[in-house]
Amino acid sequence: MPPKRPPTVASGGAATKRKRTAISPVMSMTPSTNTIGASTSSTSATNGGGGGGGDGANSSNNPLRSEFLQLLSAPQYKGRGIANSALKSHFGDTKYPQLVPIINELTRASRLNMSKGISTTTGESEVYFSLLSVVEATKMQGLDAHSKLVYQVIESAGNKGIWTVDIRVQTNIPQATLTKIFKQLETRKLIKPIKAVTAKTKKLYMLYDLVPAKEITGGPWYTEGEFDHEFIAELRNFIILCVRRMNRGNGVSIKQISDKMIQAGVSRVQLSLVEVRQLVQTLLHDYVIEERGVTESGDALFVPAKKITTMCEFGWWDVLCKDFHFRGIRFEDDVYLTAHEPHHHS
Amino acid sequence: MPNAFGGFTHISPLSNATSSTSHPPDPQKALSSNCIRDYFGPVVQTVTDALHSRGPSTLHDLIAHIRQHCLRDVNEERNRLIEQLNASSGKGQAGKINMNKARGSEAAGFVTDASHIRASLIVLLHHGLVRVSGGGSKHASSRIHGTDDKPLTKPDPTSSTTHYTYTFLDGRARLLPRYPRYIQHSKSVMDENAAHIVEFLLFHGRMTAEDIISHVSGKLRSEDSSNKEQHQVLVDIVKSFRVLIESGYIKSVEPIASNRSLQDIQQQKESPNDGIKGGEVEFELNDEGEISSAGKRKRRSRSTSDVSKSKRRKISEETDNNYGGNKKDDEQVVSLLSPLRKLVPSGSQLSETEEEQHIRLAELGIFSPSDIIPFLSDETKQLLQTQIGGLAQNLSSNLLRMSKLQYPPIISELEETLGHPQGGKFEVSMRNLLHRLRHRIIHRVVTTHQGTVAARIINILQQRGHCESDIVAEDAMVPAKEAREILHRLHRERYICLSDMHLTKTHNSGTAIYLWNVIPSRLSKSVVDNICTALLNLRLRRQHEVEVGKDWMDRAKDANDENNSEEDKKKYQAFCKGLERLDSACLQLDETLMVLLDL
Repeated sequence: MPPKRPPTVASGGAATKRKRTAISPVMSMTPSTNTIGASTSSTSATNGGGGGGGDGANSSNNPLRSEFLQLLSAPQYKGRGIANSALKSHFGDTKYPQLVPIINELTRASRLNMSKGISTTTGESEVYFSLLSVVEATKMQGLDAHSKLVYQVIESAGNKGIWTVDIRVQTNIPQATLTKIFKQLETRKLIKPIKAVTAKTKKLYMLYDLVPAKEITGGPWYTEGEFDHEFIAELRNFIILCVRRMNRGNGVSIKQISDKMIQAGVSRVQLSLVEVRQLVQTLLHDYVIEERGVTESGDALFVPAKKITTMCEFGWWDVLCKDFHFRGIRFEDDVYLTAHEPHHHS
Repeated sequence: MPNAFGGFTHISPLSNATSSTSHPPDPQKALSSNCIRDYFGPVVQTVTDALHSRGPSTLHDLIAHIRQHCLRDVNEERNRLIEQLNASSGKGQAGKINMNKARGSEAAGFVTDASHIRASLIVLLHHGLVRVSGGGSKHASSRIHGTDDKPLTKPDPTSSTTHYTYTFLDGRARLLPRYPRYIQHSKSVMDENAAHIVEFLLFHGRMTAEDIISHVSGKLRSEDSSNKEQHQVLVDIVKSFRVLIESGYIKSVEPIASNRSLQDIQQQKESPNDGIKGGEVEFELNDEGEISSAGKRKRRSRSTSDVSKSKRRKISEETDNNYGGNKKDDEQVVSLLSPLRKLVPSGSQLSETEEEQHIRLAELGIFSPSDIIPFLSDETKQLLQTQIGGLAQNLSSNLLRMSKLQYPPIISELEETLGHPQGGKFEVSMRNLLHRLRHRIIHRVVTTHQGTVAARIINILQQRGHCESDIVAEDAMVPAKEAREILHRLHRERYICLSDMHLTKTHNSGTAIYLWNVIPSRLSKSVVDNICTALLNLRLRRQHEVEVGKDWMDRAKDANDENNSEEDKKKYQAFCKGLERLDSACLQLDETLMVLLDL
């Protein structure tokens, strides 16, 4: 069920009539994050008189608050956050209940993120609290539950992104609402749309700061989502020149080619050895270069391929067309054999 | 599709190709059929196509099969009328009215007469395009294998129960257009006499040694105006003949008629009794194509058509051996050939078994270092001699080093050089080199036909085996969509194969895994079929061009130079150039076929 309100933690005050319910998670697809959208189905009915915890938590001078913030800012709790059990053991039974209003206040200010994860000590599922930066909190401020849910779903996809269809399926939010949420999140620079090279018509969303994965962008061989034939042709020509001229044509290894490419600044992006090997393989398959011998370290050496004259220089495969006999034939030196009028069987 | 050739016929009634399609079901058979038509005519093509469609057949079956396709439905009334006319006219055989029972003309390949079919078969036999086997009958096994009481005997060709089976040799028919190159090759490798001998043999099919030498000497005598001594000419011709046999260019074969039957035929010519004996009886047929029994031997039917007359003349010329011609030459020829009887046995009976022939040919390629010394240049010899060890030892060690080369392998060491009295035995790695050359030719054909990326994809699949299209796209460095298009195109051309694996019991294309791979034999066959189809289409186009432009070409040749306009001359020259281009294209394709199929 979609969440109706942002998550809150009920205070321990007797005067409150808040109803504390268990957090019912919306599980994400990526098990590594085990992020649960903060889509608790808890309902709370605030009582005007019972806001004791809230008033105290709002005080920035509260030492407990500072201690709480300091704890969450510790390097070991960055990213995943601190587990509820760790929080309890740190603050003890006396101070722990006093954290409730602080947590509520921080949550309302979008500075605190709650998620469900597996405890490393007990191995059981429990809640984790992580602190967001002020900038992030500013961005997240004012977002409703749906938006936060969508944000968390997109965050869980990581650098591979997620299709809009999948977001709709996971969040069960109608398309019209989703479109508004996407706009809102894009405006706040929280997410960005990208296009995958495998499916250019579909839209992928991912977090704004993430670099898309190679499978999505296509790697260095794609420019603006289009396969860059010219770039590859340039690189191939460069490799052919290297093979012919370096070491007086006695053979070059892939490492030497790669170093030369970096030195010459041929590529706008840094190419790894794997990518250079991919280029060299295509030249091997085209019989432009061939492998001959190895270096002392066992790397293969490549030399220009010897030209083998095959009998078949015939390139006129139009003769296989069904209407060949009806065609006129024009040769290179303008000699022309006209086709004769087609005849029909009598 | 309408017929591009109109009235120009190029197929027989039994051909597997139609006139309007450029893709015959079996391109190699269609090509060999076209070659047969080009060299021997439409009737022989019909017999060839019958052997193609029916497979190995006896003569009787062949005739029945051809008649089934070439006979038309005869109106019984008309048949009766003609019989009545013949009976009433009483003019005898000469004035007899015959009804044409064929569905079309002989020029279109419609043949119904058994003698024509028989004659065509003889032509094919004579040129080594048909293989004969069998000779079996109900009682053949005891005759062939012999029993304790009866000695081993061959089947009796005169018996009506003896049947021979004829199988057409496709590969031989495709070689017909190469005959001019064989002649040219023998001229360049040996001499003019060898070229004449080869030309004569190719034209006539098979001849006795005496005939060949007599005819070649006769031809040279008419062409050569110099006063070279006749004996010297004959000696030169016999020498070339011997070299041709020893080099494996020509070989002796069994005659179509046996020696005994030849002698019988010779005796019959001298005796008034015109009984038919010997091997000829195997082809004794009546008008209905039935073999007559030995008891009632009757005169075989003689067709009056020109085709069968010319065929009969050819057979009689064979048996004539020029006896009664220039007796002086013959005696000289016989005397010159007598020292070579081991190579050229009398009557051309086979003296070497197949196994012996294989061994001889296999040993042709093996050499030792000393065998190749005479062929080395002086500089190389000098260089090797100056090094420590001397010429032979250094040459042997160089050959050994060459045998270690892996890419490509050139020479293989058959016998170890260490301690070998001749310095080792080596052999050129023909098989490896040929395999590599064929691979490159196929790559080149695919490159010119389908593009560089397609050829690259085929290489990738050959190396990797079964692959998905995404992997292929990644290795080929092309977008996935383009890779898929190329893969489907190659699959349509039957260069590559597609297999699918289903993850569920029911077919679901969304979850199935599609894998592409290359089967080398299938790839090779597809390339060969495409080359054969291309060659056939080019040949047909050329033949059609010549047929249509025949009148115009004759006019252009005969025309007076003063009256010719420049434009006509240019057109004629352009037309001839066009034909040259077609010839050149045919030559390229034929050479490629030679490497892929015939080596």
